[in-house]
Amino acid sequence: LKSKISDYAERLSKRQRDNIGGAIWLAPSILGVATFYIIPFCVVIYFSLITSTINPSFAFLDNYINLFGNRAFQEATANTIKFSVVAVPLAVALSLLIALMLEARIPLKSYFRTFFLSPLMVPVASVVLIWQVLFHPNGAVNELIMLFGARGIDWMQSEFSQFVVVVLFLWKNLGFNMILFMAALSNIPREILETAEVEGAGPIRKLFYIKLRYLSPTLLFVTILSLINSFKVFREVYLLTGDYPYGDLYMLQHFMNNIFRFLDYQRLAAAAVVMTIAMVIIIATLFIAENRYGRDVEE
Amino acid sequence: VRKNIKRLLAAILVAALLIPMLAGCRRSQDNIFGTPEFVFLPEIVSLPDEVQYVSNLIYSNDRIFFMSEVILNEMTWETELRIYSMNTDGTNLTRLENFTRLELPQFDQEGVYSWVDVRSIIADSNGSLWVFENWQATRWEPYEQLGQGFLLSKLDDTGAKISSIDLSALVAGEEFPWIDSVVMDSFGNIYVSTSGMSGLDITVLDTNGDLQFKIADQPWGQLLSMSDGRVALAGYVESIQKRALRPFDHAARAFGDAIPLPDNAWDVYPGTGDYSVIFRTGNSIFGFISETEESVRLLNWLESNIIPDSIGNLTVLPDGRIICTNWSYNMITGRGGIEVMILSRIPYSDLPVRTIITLASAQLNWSLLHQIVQFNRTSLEYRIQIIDYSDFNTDEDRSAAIRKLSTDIIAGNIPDILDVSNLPVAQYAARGLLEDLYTFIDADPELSRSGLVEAVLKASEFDGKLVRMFPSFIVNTVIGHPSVVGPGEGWNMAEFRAVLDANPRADKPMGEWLIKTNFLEAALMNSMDQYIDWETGRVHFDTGDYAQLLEFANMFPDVFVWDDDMMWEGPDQMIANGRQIMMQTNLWDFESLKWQRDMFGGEIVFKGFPTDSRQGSSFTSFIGLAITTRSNNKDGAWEFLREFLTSDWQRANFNGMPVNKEVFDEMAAQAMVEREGWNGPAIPMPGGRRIIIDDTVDDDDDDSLGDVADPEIDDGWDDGWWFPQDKPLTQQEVDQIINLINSITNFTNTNQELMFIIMEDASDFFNGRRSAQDTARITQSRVSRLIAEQS
Repeated sequence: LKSKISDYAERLSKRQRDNIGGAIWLAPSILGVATFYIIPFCVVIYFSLITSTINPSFAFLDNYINLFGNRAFQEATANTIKFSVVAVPLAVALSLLIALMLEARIPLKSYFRTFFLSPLMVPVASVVLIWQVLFHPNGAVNELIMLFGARGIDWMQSEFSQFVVVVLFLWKNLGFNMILFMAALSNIPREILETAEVEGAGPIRKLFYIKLRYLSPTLLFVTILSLINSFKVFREVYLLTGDYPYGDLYMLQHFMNNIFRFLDYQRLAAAAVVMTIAMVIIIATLFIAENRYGRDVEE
Repeated sequence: VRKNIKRLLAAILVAALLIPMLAGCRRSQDNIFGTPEFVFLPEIVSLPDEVQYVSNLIYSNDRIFFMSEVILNEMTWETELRIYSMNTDGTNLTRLENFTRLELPQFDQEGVYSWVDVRSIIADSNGSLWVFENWQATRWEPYEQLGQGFLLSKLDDTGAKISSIDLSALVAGEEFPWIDSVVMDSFGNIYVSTSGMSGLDITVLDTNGDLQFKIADQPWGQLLSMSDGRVALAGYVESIQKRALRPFDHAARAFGDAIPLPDNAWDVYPGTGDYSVIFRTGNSIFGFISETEESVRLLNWLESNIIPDSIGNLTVLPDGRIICTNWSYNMITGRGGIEVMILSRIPYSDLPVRTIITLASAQLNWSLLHQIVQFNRTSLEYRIQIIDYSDFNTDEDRSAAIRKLSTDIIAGNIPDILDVSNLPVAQYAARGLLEDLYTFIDADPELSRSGLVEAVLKASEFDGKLVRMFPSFIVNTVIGHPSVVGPGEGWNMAEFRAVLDANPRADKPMGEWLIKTNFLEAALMNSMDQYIDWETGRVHFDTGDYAQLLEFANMFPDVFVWDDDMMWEGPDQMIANGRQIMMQTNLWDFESLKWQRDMFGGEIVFKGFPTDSRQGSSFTSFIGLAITTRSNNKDGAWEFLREFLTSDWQRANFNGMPVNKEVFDEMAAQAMVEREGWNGPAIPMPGGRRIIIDDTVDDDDDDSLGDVADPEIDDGWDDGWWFPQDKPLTQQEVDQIINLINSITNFTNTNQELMFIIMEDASDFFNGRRSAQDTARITQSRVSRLIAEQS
């Protein structure tokens, strides 16, 4: 058998041999990705195109039409977009600002860094508990507000509810984003910054014309990461308010989680496909923007 | 060499990547849809007529021993405690002739009650029997505990006591002296558990009764012997925050390491054979192996066609057979009797071949269980196999059963019959999971739609389909006297409030017992349609009516606090003096209307809960069964379901108003017949009620037995037993109920998710944290999402 394999191998070109060898070594990973991601996603697409898993028949786009016409889906989508539009830019901008501050020569720099990273070490369940105490109608935040003569706010059951979660999201994510920006800042060639300084460029010019351009791949990465995290804020909201939160806190994951329990797999599958397409479009757009903006730096 | 090492490492890494993927290929060890590997066949051992009661059944030296209290004289209630023994196949039943119970000390005082209780029979490792007895003497008036004692006696083969150990000294001086249990290990050491003030004390004695050591202040637990001969304490262990077995290390005079017990091991029995201990759950018996902390299902009662409710004295023999007692009751003769059952294991494949019908349930109903066993015993063609999803629930997760069922449904593991009694039937119907049962009713040679109470079937429909079958129903409504609440059925919130305003004396308008949450829940269950338009998915909690309902509910107390004064003001009196003007009621039958009618002065009107549609009454049913569309055995499933709708079944098993029209009409006709009284004359009472005295009963030893002139008769307890005998219903009153039933269009809303949201928000209002308007606004937002998701 060994000699047969050797004969066969000798008949192949080196390129063909490399391809076969590569395929063999890649097979486990491909098999794993196919088993746990690609095939299930194909099943999801199939589910989104049939009437029911119990008595299936082809529904074409009916599930999608039904989904887009569903008020709960519309509200969940609007709330998720609203949250992401507010929280993601804030998470990127604030973490960049903190990274720039910590890059400067300020006292107690390492303590500040640890301070911003500490939320990463706290389990979500504990964070949520603290948030519940802080933003309870009789909680610490309302006590503080009332010291200044204002009326207390029912934070989680009012129009301010999303504000509470945005603050929680920023508190939880700023530290990690900051570390990524700090790493990227330290990779900017010192000689370019020094040359700019010699040629009379101020801090603002250096920031916009040198640092931000060198930071553009990291900016893209942090934005994508924050965007993904903003979609995952469901966990915190669920622990804070349960399956059916009030007002703006009802996110896409609430919708998907709830309809899973109602066995509405067709609508769930359609929502998953729509969400995937939306994410692909957003991330592709970000890649295109980064390509255009940071191309000269990378070259 | 280095190259080969790299290749080897790469190959190992590839294998490591592949292995986890094989995890999904694991063959399920517990295929809940498969047939069982084996079942147990019961063999009944008939006991002599005098044995009416069996206790303390144990196995020792290839014999079964048990105790029975035999009635010697039914008139004087003279009894005798006896110990019997028999072979493990039920033969050679003999009595241990020389056994006599402990002699009671004599007390010279009058009014002293004393008794002896044989608490347990224990077999030591030599096969000798011991009995643990306890005597007590009490004087009731004035109450005084005059004494008690605890004695452990060794018996010879004839039951004669050959030696005794007085255990009373172990609890002497205690304020409440009590010995919980006595257990022996294989070395003859005696373990005695006593309840002290700060926990459980375990005293260890040698065979002669001499003290060896004592372990004090342990958390409460159950002493039992393990199969390896050790004694263990089964109970909650703080360090692992679980129930566990703690075997005694006799040499170290301390407990060994705690062995965690499974979550469902609450009812634990001594071990035998390979199993350290045995434990019993609702439907099964398990053996627990302490070394591996593994539990093995030994028997499933239902698979063996046995109803486990009346099973007692469970003992597993070393050869795997199971001996137990069963209390059987004959509904026709009205007599019960005890029987010993010897259960022998046989392979399932040895049973006659029958088509399996799977029935899935998340919470099995008692009468459904009985019907399944009955069907399996009689059907030659089909066998119902129960898939009890409640087994998947844990203490931490009570919704695991429904989640597992949902996952199975989506995975295509769909049973033939679904017990939808506690399941979201509307969602299942919407997904096309349930068959239209009208098809089966219409094709049935014996049943027909007109032969059933059609209004109830109609109210149960989803999109014109009858997707669940229920044998009986209950009508939920609110009643009052027409002169107070107004003539005509139904009302809206404005009319309801007007009645309240017109009756300022009614400080408890719906009675003393109703609390805020109960009222709101009942009101919403009956009037949810007012707030939710199920067709369009629109929600109307913010229109003002719901806020009004909340404010009205807030008039009720938070909790019901018992007050001695209430003893003297029941609903009759509260209605009579105007404090109560209506009553929430569940009509289980026609009879219950009689006393309600009389309580309201002889006339009532069905108002229901206030709703815009003036239709605030609803139906409820306890059993709900459905046939799934994916079933391959629909005919077999229907053969099982149809039995519930037959007149014979409904006559014998009524629990609510029967759905079978023939039985329903019989029940209505029966309510119009004057019942025969007992032995005494009927005494007219205000409001049309009559009292009948059963003068064969005398419970106070006075001379006025059945004396109708005795003024003390009003309290109902002095002379004999009295029974209210209400006036029979008139045809008009029966028609009134039938009209109500025909007018009801909905079943009680049992959408648990919906009720949870509403009640969660309402609790903030009841606690004063939010106004009614804010609560309505929040509920509107949350419920509208829920309804939109489901629409």
